[in-house]
Amino acid sequence: MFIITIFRFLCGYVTLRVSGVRCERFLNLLARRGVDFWRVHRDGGSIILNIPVSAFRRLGPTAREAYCRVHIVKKNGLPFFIAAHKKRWSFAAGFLMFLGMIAFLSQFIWSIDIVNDTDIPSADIERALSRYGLYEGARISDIDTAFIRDSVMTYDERVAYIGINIAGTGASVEVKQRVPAPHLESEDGPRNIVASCSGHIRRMEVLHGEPAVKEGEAVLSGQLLISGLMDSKVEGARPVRADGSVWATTWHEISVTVPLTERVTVDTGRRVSFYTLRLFNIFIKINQNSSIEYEKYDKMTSQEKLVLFGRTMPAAIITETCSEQGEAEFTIDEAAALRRAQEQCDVKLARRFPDAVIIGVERETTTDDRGVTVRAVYECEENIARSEPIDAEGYENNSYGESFDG
Amino acid sequence: MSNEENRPRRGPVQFIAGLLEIPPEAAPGMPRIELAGNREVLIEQSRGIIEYTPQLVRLRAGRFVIHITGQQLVLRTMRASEIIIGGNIASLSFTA
Repeated sequence: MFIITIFRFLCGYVTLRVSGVRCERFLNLLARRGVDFWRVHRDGGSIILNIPVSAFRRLGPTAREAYCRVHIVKKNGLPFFIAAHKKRWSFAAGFLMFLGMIAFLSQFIWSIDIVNDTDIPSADIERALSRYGLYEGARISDIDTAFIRDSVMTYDERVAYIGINIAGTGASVEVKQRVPAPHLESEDGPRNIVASCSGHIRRMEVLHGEPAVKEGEAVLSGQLLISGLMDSKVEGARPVRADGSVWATTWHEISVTVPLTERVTVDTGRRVSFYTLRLFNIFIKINQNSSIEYEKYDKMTSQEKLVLFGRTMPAAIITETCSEQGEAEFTIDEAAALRRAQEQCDVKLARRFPDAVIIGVERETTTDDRGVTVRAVYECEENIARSEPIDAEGYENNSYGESFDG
Repeated sequence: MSNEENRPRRGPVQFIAGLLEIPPEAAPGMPRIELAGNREVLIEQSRGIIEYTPQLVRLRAGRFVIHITGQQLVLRTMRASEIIIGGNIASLSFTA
């Protein structure tokens, strides 16, 4: 019904008042002559009705035949509106310009919505899409989605699949991450367990393989702990993937020097900001003549996208803030330097041997011109088992090698 | 009164339509009436309006005259063979 109303408005219609004693006959004649009319109602002795403009010429003979008088009450619809306003050129020009702007602006991508629940940063995806032609402001007719999809998947190996849908002026991009094939340990071949560092074995858990050492023994870094070659009287030597844990007491020496005076870079608090307006891919600098007078500075760039009615517009304000950096010299007392050195020792140990449990520590402190030096020896307990592939040399050196042919 | 006298009178067209088991609404000259609650009535195969006031609409349809009574009755659309009447419809009756 709404469509019919619009159609009637576009074609134009006339509201008439029909008066006379035989109004019903007038309606019957009109209907019989193929004229559609609608919204007929009584108003006193007369009838009000709407007829299309095209049927207006047929009214005269019909009214005469039915002995009725017809008056135009109102002219409605687009043809009458245009006729009434045809001298207003500026109005028409503005309307046409508006239509032209709509038609022109809808040829470009206004927003890109990246549906990304992967570990790949959306900025990386955006960069890759932009590289192959999908960016805010790109002409929609120039976008080859199949080419972009294939190119991005080749360009970024983390992407398993990328779906690009362009609806109107918006592009929706869905990203799926590549899941690497699981590493099969069986493909690694036979392996030995060797000591990752020197120590004193406290306990062993051998899951597979032949133990080469015993609890209580001292071992050196790289020494064989569990052999991947198992002896068998029936089959001979059989290469296996040795597995197990070997906990040992180990000693690690860490040395850290903390200077008593140090030069650090500090923010002086002075800063200057530059603004750039981004419209599609056009960048307009707002403060063109500004220059940076700082000798040393940190630059931070932030981009704030314009949002209108909850939808991101292809425009943004880019703010570049330059903060002046100065140098300052700090002096710290010996106690603080010592504390910091000890903390740094602990941090270094935890970074180098993350699984080590500290049992005891011996520290030696020296102070000289360079600052405070702490030399700490940590006694730890840790799993020193390290898996290592058995090479050809390993087979030859092994006493069971005669019956092994693989 | 015998059953013969109670039977409605049928013209030759209705008689042949009955013999051929043609559905009544497909028979020529038989109006088709569709009511939407008491708000709107669509009448097809009507032959024209006899009387129209906001309280009463009388239509010629085949061998009948259809009376539609109500309040604020309006002819929503009218074509050669179709009329849609809107308003608060109170009753719909026929006279031969």
